[in-house]
Order: sequence, then C-alpha cells, then structure tokens
Amino acid sequence: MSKELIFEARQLTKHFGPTVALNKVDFKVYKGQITGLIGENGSGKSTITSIAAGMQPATEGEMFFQGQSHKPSSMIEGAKTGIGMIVQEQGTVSGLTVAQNIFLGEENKFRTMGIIHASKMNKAAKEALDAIGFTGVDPSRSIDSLNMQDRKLVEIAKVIYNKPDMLVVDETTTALSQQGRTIIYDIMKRMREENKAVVFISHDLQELMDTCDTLTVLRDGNLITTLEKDQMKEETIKKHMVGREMKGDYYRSDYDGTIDPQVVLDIDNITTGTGLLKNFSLKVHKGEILGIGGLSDCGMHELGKAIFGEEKILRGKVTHITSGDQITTAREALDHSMGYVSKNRDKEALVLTASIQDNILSAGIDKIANKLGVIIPKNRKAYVNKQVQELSIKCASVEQNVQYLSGGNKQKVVFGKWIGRDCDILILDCPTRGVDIGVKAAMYQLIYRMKQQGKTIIMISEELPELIGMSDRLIIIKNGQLSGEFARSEVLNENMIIDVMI
Amino acid sequence: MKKKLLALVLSAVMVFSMTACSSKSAEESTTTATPTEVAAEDAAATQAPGTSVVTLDKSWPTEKVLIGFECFDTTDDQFLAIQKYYEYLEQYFNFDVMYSESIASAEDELKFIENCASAGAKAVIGYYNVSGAEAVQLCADKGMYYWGGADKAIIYDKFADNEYYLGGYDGGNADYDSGYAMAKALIDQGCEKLVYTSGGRDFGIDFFIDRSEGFYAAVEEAKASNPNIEVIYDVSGWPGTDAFTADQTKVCDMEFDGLACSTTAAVWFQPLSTVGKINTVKMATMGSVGDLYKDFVEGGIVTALVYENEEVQFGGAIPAILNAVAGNGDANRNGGKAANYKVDRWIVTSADQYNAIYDKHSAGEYFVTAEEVAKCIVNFNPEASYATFEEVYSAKTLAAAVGQ
Amino acid sequence: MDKSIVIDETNSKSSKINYSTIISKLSPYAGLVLSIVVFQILTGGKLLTISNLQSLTNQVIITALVAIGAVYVFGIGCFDMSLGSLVCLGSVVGGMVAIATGNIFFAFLVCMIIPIAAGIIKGIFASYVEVPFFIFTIVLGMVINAFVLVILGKETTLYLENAVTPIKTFNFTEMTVINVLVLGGFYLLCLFLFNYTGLGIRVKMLGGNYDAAKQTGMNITKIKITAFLVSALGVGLAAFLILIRVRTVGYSTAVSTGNDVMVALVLGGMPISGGPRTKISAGIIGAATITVLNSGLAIMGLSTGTIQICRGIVFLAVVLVASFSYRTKMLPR
Repeated sequence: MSKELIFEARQLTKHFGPTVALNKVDFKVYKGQITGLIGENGSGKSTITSIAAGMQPATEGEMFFQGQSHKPSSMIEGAKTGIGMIVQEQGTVSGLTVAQNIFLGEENKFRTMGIIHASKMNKAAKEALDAIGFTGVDPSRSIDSLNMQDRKLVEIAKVIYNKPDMLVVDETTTALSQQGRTIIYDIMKRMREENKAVVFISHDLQELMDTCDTLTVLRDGNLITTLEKDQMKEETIKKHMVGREMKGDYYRSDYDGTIDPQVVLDIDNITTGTGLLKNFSLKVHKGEILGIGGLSDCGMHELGKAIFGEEKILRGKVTHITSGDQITTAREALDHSMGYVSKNRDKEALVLTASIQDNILSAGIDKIANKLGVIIPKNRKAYVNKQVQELSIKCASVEQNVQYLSGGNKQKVVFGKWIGRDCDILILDCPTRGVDIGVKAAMYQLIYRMKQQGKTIIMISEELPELIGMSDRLIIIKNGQLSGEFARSEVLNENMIIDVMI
Repeated sequence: MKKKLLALVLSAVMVFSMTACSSKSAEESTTTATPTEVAAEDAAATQAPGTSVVTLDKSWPTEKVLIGFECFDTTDDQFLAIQKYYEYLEQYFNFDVMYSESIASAEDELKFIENCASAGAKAVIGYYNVSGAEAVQLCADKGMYYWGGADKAIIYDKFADNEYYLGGYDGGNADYDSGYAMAKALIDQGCEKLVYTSGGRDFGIDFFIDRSEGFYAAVEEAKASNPNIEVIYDVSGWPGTDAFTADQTKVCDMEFDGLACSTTAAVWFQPLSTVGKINTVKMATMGSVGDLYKDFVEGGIVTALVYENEEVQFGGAIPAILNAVAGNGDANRNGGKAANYKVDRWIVTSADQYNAIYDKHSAGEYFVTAEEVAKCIVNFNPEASYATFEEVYSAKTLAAAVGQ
Repeated sequence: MDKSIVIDETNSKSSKINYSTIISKLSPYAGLVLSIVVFQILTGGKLLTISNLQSLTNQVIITALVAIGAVYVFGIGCFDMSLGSLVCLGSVVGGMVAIATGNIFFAFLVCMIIPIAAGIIKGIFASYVEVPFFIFTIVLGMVINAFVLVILGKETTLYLENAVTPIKTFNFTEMTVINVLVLGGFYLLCLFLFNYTGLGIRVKMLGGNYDAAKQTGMNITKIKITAFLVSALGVGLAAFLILIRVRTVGYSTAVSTGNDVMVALVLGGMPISGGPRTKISAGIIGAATITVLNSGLAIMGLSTGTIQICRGIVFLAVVLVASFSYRTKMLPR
C-alpha cells in the first residue's frame, strides 16, 4: 500500500535573528495517516507547522502541498489551500456568539442585501458543531458563557467546517477535558479514513503513542528520526528527544506517604460563590504533598483559589491553623506565607508584557525592601538571579519580556515568583501544563525537594499520572463534593481513581 | 523588517516636507499687491517738507523690524482685516509681523511674548491682553516695546512713565457706547420688541459686560418716552454651543422686530430666513465691514454695524513702534507719558456708508494711507509729534473718512 | 544548586535580541534630540540662546510637572482627563488665598492641598466604583471648571498685584532657578519612588494585568491612592508655579495643560494604557519635546495653519516609530 505524499518540506530553515529554529529539515506528511510531532520546547515542531500554515515565512527551503509549490503569505492563504490549524492559545473572540465566532470573516455567506441572517448562521453553526460531535450547545449563545474547553471546541468546529485536507493539531489536547480529547481523536480518525492527513503535536507521549501512525522527533531544530508504530517505545522516544539517557526517576523515588498529624490549613464547610463547591471540608497537613484531582469542572480549581483567598466564599471559612487567622484575601494568604500558582498562566500568574525580573519581584517586594521601603539594586539583582539560576530559566536577560519565553520557561518564572518568597504552603494548579518533559522532571524534583524542606504543597492537576506519582495523599472531587481519598502506594493505578472521578 | 524601513522612510519624508513647508511660508509674508497706483502718491510724499531721504519703498527702516501680535481668535473677521492692513503697510515700510496662535490663558500670553523676544522682535502689539500688567512688564524686561491697553487703568496707570510702554488708543467707554449705540440705532429705526445676545457677559468677560450695560441703559432711557419698548429675550453664551442653538430656536418662535448682537449677527441669518422673519427684523451688530454683512446691509436687514475700523484703531501701532525703534520714542508721547489718543468706533447705518468703506478696501486702499502713517514717523516727517497722531487717528471719524 | 534540576541546558532557543524594542525605547530621546537640532537650524540659532533657554524652562515646567506625576496614574491603567482643570482650581483658589492674606506660604499650602484631596477622592473612586474611570474624570473636570466659575464670580481674572501685602515678583533668573530646582527635585523623587521602592513594580503590574497583580497579594486600593497622590503633587506644584510666575489666574488658566500632558506622554514613549512599559522619563522627555517643538515653530513666525500642520506631522512620525515594538511577532513555541 503506497502512501501518497500530501505535504513535503525540503531543507526547511528558519532563523529568528541569531536563533536557529529549524535547520534544513526534510519533513514528509502522507495521506491517510496521523503523523505525530514531538520535541522539547524550542525543538522547532511548532515552527514547521506555523510556516506551513502561513503564519510566518521560512528563511530557506521549499514546501510542497498536494504536489504544488506551497508558499503562503498569510494564514488565510494557507487555510485556502487546505491546511487547517488548531492551536493551544485561545482563538475565539469575546463578545460574539458561538455562531458568529465560527463564521468570523465569512459572514458574507449569510448576507443578502446587506443584512446578515442570524437564523441561517445559527443553523449552519449547529451543523458544524454536530459534525464534530459537540452537541448540546446553542449557537446563538454568547461565547463568553462557555468555559475555556468548550470555546476551544468551537474553534475546532470552525476549522473542520472548512474541510481541510491536512489538519494540524498543535498542543491543543493538554487543555481539553476528556470529552474534548475524545472529539479530537474522533476527528483525527475520521480524517485518516477519508484519506486525509493529520499532524498531531503534543507533549503527551502516551497520547501520541496511542493515536499516531508515525512519530517524528525533533531536537534543537533538527529532525532526529521518524518512528513507525511498532518502534514507539517510551524510553526510545525520550532518549531521542533529549539526546541522552534520562537518569533518575521522573517523579519521586520513594513510596513513603506518611502524613504529619499537624494540620496547617482547615477548610471548613465552604460553599463558593460560583456554586461549584458545596459544603466542602478538608484538612491539610504539614509537609504533605496533597494531590487534588477530578474532572475539569468538578470544583478543584475553585478550591485552590478559595484556599488562597481569591475566590468568594459564601459560607464556611478557611483557617490558617498555625496562626489561627482566617484567610479571606490574597494579601492575607501572602502574609501567612502562602503562595498560589494559577492554572491560567498567561492571564493570572504572569504579566506577559512585563519583564522576567518584574514578574519574579512582584510577589516578593516585602522580602527585599529594607525598613524604609527602599529596594537596593544589589538586593534586587540577587533575588532575581537566584531564581533564574536555580530554576535554569533560559533567557537573554532578566529584562526580557516574559511573553517571548517558551511555555516551560514561563512556568519557571511563575515558580520563581513564589519560591523566592520561601512560602511554607504552596498551592499549584496544573503546574506542568504545556511544559515539556525536561522541565517537567525538573519541577517534580523541585516539588519533592520543597517537601523535604518541610513545606506543604497542594497540587491540583488534571493529569492523573503526575498526581499518582507525586502525592502523599490524593483526593478526588466530583461535583463539588469529596468523592475519594487515596494514600500513596505502589499499586495505585489510574483505573482505581477514574472509578471515583466519573 | 521591510515594513519598518518603509515606516522610517515615510516619517523622514514627512519631516523633510515640513522643513520645505516652513521655508515656503517665510516667503509668504510679503503679499502681492499692485504698487502702480501707489507710485503717484509716492512722489507726493517725497515732496513733503523735511529732509526726507527715506522713501516709501520699503527701504526704511534699513534693518527689518519684527513685531509680535497677540490675538485671541485667529479666525476672527477683525483680526483678518487687521492682517490685511498690515500687509498693505508692509509694502512701504520695512517691518514684519509675527502673529500668535489663538491665545487663551495668561501662561500662553507670556509664552508668546517670550517667543517673540527669542525671535528677535522689537515690540509686541497687545491686541489681546489677559494678564494685565504682567505682559507689559515682561516686554519691558525683555527690552521690547508694548503697544496697547491705554484704556485699561491697571496697565496705563502703572506704566505711563515707562519708556517701553508706548500706550495706544483710548477707546474710552467704547464697549458701553457700542451697546448703547446698537440699542439707540434700532429704537431710532422704530423697533420696539428687542432681542439681545449678550455673548460672554455671564462669563464675566469685561467688554461684554460693558456692552450689555450700554445696551440696557439705552433701552431704559427710551422706555421713558415709549413704554412699549422692551427687551423680550436675552440670549447668553457663544454661537455654536448647544445652549445657544436652543435659545436661538426659541427666539425664532417669538414676535420681535429688533435684534442686537454683541457677538455677531451672522449666525442669525439662516435661522431667521428659515422662519421667514428675515425681512421683518432689523439687526444691529458688532463686526467688520467685509463680505459677511454686505448683502444684508444692502438689503436693509442689518441696519446698524458698530465697526472698529482697523486702520484707525490698530494702525497707529506701526508708526509708534517704528518711531520707538528708531530712537524717536518721544514723538509718541503725550506730555512725557505713554500715548492715549482718543478714537471713535464707526457706527455704520446705511448701505452707502458701508459700500464706501467696502469698495475702498476692495481696491486695496485705506482711509489711513501710508503717507498719513509716514506723517507720524519722525524719519519721514521731523515735525511728527503726539499731535500728529491725534490729527491722523483721533480725527478720523466715520464722517471724516467717508466724506473723502 | 541541585544538579538534578538542570536537564535542559541545550534549550537556548528562547534568547533573541529584540531590535524593535531597542528602537522604540530610544525613539523618544531621538525625537527630542532631533527636534532640538532641526529647530536650532530652522530658527537660525535662536532656539538655544541663554535667554530662550531660560524661557524654555518656564514653558516646559507646567506640562512636565503634571506629566511626570501623571505617569503613575496612566501607569496603573487609569485615564485621567481632569488634570488640567485641577491645576486651574489649585491656581485659582491659591490665588484667592494669596490675594486675601498676602502670604505666599499659605498660598503654597492651598495649591498643594486641593489636588491632594482630589487625588484621594479619585483613588477611592478608582478602587471601589465600577464606572469606567475616564468618564468619571471627564465629569470631574467639568464640575471643577464650573466650580471655578462660581467662586470667581464677577471677576474673570485674579491679579496677584491686588494682594493685601505685596507678593514678591520673581525676576527672570530667579524664576529659572526655581523652575530647574522644582522640576529636578520632583523628577528625582518620582524616579526614586518608581525604581527604588516597590511602588514602581506594583504600578507596572497593576497596569499590565489586574488579575495577576491581585494574586501577588498587593493592596490594590493603597497602590491606586498612592499613584493619585504622586500625581497630585505634580499638579499642586504646577498650580503654585503658575501662580507665582504668571501672577494672573482665572478661568482660562491651564486650559491646554490636559491635552499637552497627554501629547507629552505619547511623545515621551509612555504607553497610554499603562502597564510594564511605563517609564518616568516619558513625562519629562515628552514635555521637553513639545516645548521645543512649540517654541521653535513660534519663533519661526509661521502662520497658525502651518504650525498646526507641522505639529501634526511630527506627532505622527514619533508615534509611528514608537509603535514598532508593538508589531513584533512572537516566537511560536
């Protein structure tokens, strides 16, 4: 069965100033296949697809699509030739309805004599949504009434509606719930059956191994190898990605789940303003890594916020036992040596347009200012550089804007912000999302080290493997209620937990 | 990178075109005017008694004198008329005027004076003055002459003996008289129901207050003999604002036969036409003789125009300044004190009078000619003195002028 | 340093020298230098005479003082349209006090206290009320203007001449020295507060991303009020300086200051929506640029129309160059 080539990049090269993002890469995509692309941050995987989609031009090299020379000057041109792209970032426009978002820029299809027929648009939108299996959504609703995942599904509907010949899924699945992921897998399978092509970029090794027919590994802008299905083994892939053997354990190496009896935080019968948590109670013990898991809208994210004082609590209270004080605002939480890494990195954990330095300093001003409130440059530099070095934040200088960093480095800056404060209690919400393997490993070890220093970590995550791998105690929340609690053990596996989650 | 280069080139082009713009406008200051008619009168001037080596051909003063002119509204009719007159004089005398932008506050005024000093101006004409004595003091400190404000006690009293203060014309109670004259003109023409636009009176602006007082005083006097006379409505504020337009609409519904404007009557032409009252209402207004009112004066609609003739009122600045710069400042002075010769406003009440003025100006001629101006300047006329100023300016009433 | 954490040393792709950011950072300075050079040439050297330089300090100081203080307010993302009116109010009430008491010190206190009180009100409003802030400031400006009219009553202008006991007139040199000292002092104070205390970082974060700023635990109300207080200092100083130099205050005082400040900030490279690119230098560089521009154009003796065209062109050119940094695309990850 000969495979037909749909897309080919020859000697594709891309320079960003002195940085070489792609180095003479020869990349082939075949019809009727799901081709996976994996690599660390900065390996160039997103660069290839963004050049193919028309987001930016290549520095050297050629591309061919469906046998023709392919040189799109804009995303619209790229889309016209038949390449559809779904990305990690938010692509819907606030303030419009679902239907308007799907047909953004194509309203003329529904325009007669200058008036746009909303009912026609809504009908077409419903068809588009049904086509991807996202039922139960009224297209005339405002997009703002949907949560992040559903908004992403609307984007997907938009892309699929245009019937692309080659679909690129760029690190989208990490932000999606199970429902969303299933929808994408179904779309990919369907495209394969229709003899079209899919390029699937993800950090999730397991997911790639399950869905892809071939897997291409990039490292430092070079194409290292392409593996067939039978060659895909976790260790092999990791080795190709990183370039050397990964030594040591990924998560913790111990299975000691003993919990100190001393309680540091008492969450007493709280009901949050969003209504997602109802009469929820929890005690957090000193020095434990408390994992919190569940489906994405079970209320665990709100719990994290509520503990930090960032979520309105209608009934009940959060008490910091050691001091006896109630925590109701972020300021109070900080004063009690608490820290919070938000799930929403770009919107809540970082000020994107600010420098690395300012972001790291922003939570630690009281730590470096002297009695008069004056910050001596020497202290400031020392504080920032300590974090940059210890976390190996890759940047040209600390004055660089955070928005130019890769996902992993951004997360390191967020960590640096809170670690610099030497918080006793750290709440982490999806701390390794959108972060590549190398950085993930570093973070897990950092978390474990903090535990060894006696700090308390609350880790909220949608990735079961990391919860199982890291927690001393793992609780599962379902529909705002505590649904299960597991102690750390070697035999703990995902199935046991999923039973309780759903 | 290409786009950025393009943007840089574009901005460079813009900046260079601005430089080109500026050198062009520097040449603009001398206007074109036909000097043919002037030549004959030219000869006459040089025959006048005196040593006159200097001629009216822009050769004197040998070094061009830069004069600053401070104004309140650069689009105002009167201001434009003054500009034209100075351009006429610039054909004969070697001076240049730098006009300010529309000055609003005291700081802007001082800023302008400082800029004049830096530009090398020798004098400033205070057509508008908001900071009172401060502006004059600043000029003096900078070594510039100040012309104007002779009818403002806070200025004249303080600086009368200061050599840098040239004084100017004294309009007396000009504004009060203007308001009075407008009311009187309308009443004499038979109007009984009057509407008055009071402009900036309610904002505390002096000359509007004075005009209003004059107007109402005349109305009160007239009431004694004719009790039917009354002011049925008083419109406050500036034309163009919503409040003014609202008032205007209201007035158009009323029955009246006389309208007096301390701002300008021009904004009433269209509304009154629309309601068909344009031929039944007589209008009196402050303003200049120009295109704006011509048709309406000829049509008998605007029956009284209180006109500050630019040559008589503001023309005297030029000879005074040129005298001072040449070192003959004494000739300007009234008994050792700054000049404060009286001038009258011209109250134009007929189309004949209006057209006499209009036609003369259209032909590029003026009632105070270059020769008469030269009479006040010592370098042309060694006998020039304060009396000459009075002769040339104070005596130039409407009757004297139009009788020419 | 724990070796096990350092795994991805090979990952150096995220470094990149951002030429566009450098251009946009330098463009305000370039604009100022260019303006000075161009106008020195066009005015035939009259721009930089000693006497005109002294005049320039008079002309720059009001806008500069208000603009430097305004950097804090715009920095936290609040658009303040009431600054000009506030200067007017401060000057007028200060003037009334000066005339009534003949005491320059009392006048100074009044000039400072009024804007400070207004600043606190603005800060409270910005922290607790949901109405878009700039609408509030527009209304505030109108209310203040009306109030000034009321308290002035029949007299449109107040002359310091009429003070009960004569108030010292400062001559040219004295005024220049005062200007330089006050401007320099205020600038250094603002620079210090911004760069050497936590205030600067907090202002930048607050303007950049409200949610992230809140999560760093800062006291948002306190920061907002502090920003308004700093701005009020600038306004008060400006009001006082107008009073003692011009010695004439009234309804039209500082009528163009509000606009001038906004133009100055843009010319100085300050992002109008605030955030992390806020810099104190914008206030003073921008004010200096406008002043050189206006003074140069006036000395050249151009007609009003030409002056306005030139101003517009320069403004456009500077904004164009300054907007470079907004156009760079991000590295895809």
